[in-house]
Amino acid sequence: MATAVPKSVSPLIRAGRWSLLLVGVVYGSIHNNTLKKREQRVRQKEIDRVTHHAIDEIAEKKIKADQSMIDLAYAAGVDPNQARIKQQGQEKKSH
Amino acid sequence: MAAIVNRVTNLVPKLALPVARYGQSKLNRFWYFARVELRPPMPNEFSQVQEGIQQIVRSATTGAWRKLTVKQFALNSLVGLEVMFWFYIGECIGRGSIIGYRPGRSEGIPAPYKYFM
Repeated sequence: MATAVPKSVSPLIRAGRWSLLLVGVVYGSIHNNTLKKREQRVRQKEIDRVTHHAIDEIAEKKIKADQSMIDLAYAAGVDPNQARIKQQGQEKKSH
Repeated sequence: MAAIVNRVTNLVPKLALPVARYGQSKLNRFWYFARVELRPPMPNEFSQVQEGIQQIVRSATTGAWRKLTVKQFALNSLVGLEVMFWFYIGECIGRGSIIGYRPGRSEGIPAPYKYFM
């Protein structure tokens, strides 16, 4: 193929090629920006959802722990409210 | 492993010059064709572009496209497809990835791989 000579291509085809290349670059970047923004919003919503879920889990664990302490107090024959008032009185005296 | 690394680091400077010359010759050949065939249209050729568009529109409206030979029609459609493909290559360049849009995935992967994953 060393004797091949470059062929002159019609200007219409060349114009079509380069204009479509530019249009493609522009369209690709615009569409990419749109999708990035959409992805940002979805990601923020997911982070919020996971955060709320974690907070709810911690709150539930705390409620269960407190409830089990109260049940333990009743099982041991102690009135939890009186015990709490007595403990607060002792803390005030020690301060 | 150390032997392989040593061999590679000893071979790279010896191979750099022949590789560069090979690439240079290929690029020269490519440029010899590309400066005629792939040149963007110059302003003095815009009238020909206009005429070409008018010719296409005329042949579509008068029905002259039905009088083409099958071979010419096939060649025309191949050329048309090739012109369309440049649009998709431009889209790949614009979105920054070869295979698909990657809006949320560019963190964490180093440079040449994140365009192919």
